[in-house]
Amino acid sequence: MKMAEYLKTYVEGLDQKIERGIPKGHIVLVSGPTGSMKSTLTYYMGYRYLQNNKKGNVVYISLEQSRESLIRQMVSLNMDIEKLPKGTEFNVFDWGLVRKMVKESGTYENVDWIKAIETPVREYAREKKIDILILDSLQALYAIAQMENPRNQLFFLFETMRELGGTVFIISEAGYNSMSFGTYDVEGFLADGIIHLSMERVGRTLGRYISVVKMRGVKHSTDYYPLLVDQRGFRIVSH
Amino acid sequence: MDLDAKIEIELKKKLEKLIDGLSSTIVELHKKRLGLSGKDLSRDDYILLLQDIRESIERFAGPKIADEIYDDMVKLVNEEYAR
Repeated sequence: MKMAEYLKTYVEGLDQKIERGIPKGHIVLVSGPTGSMKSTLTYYMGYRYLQNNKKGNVVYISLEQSRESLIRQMVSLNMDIEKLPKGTEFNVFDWGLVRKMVKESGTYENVDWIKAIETPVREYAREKKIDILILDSLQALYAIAQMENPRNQLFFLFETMRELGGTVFIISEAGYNSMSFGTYDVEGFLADGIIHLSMERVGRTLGRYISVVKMRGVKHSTDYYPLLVDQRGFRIVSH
Repeated sequence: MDLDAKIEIELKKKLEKLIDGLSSTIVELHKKRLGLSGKDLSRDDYILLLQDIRESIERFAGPKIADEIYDDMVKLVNEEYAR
């Protein structure tokens, strides 16, 4: 039987709290409120994966934030994809731009957005192995796709992503103080893992916290740890 | 097959890899923006169209993919107009 392979989160201190890491091929929700650094954390995990492995392929699908703005933001946090080792690829696709252009063309309402996004990713994965796929975000997808039967549509969307073979991080927006990790209450069931980012006001400071709420197939702590980020990267403050 | 059809089919095929069935919409939008809709395009029109589409692809997927598509398409346009 083939041994499972694992991905690190590269969050200093957190990897020790997840038995062997995130099993490759898992679909992991990265959920949290606005400002909890969901996009930055997932970008960071992809970036550090390529930096450390010196080979591989990360695909980041942004449905709202422009590619230019996302890349600029990440460069300011010391993650410049131009500086990644040769032999690695970090591709950011700006679907927000396509949305705007299709809107301008007047055909926006006729588009099956899930298919439009899914098909090229599948084609891409046929040509190049995708190690990590990031979808930012589920709620942006809900805003453009007709979700008539969310449980069914999400099941097939997750299955399509699973078939790609890589590890998938899906960013999901959640409210402050919410223990719901998606919009339809099914996202958490369908995902193999949930990384929850939360924020809490402590006096005049808004603190960030992280917890691995769910990770199928590995033992892990479900504690919430203070999450810090600086130019060196992410780290937790362990109890 | 006429020249326009051949070039446009190839361009849409390349864009399909990035944006699936939206490729026709995006090509038509660029033609409209440049005032090229419904016209028989000259070589210069095609180069202008390709430059405009190249800019959009760069914003969508970055310069490497944009250059690959642009270079391949310019080569095709030049070959076809040299015949």
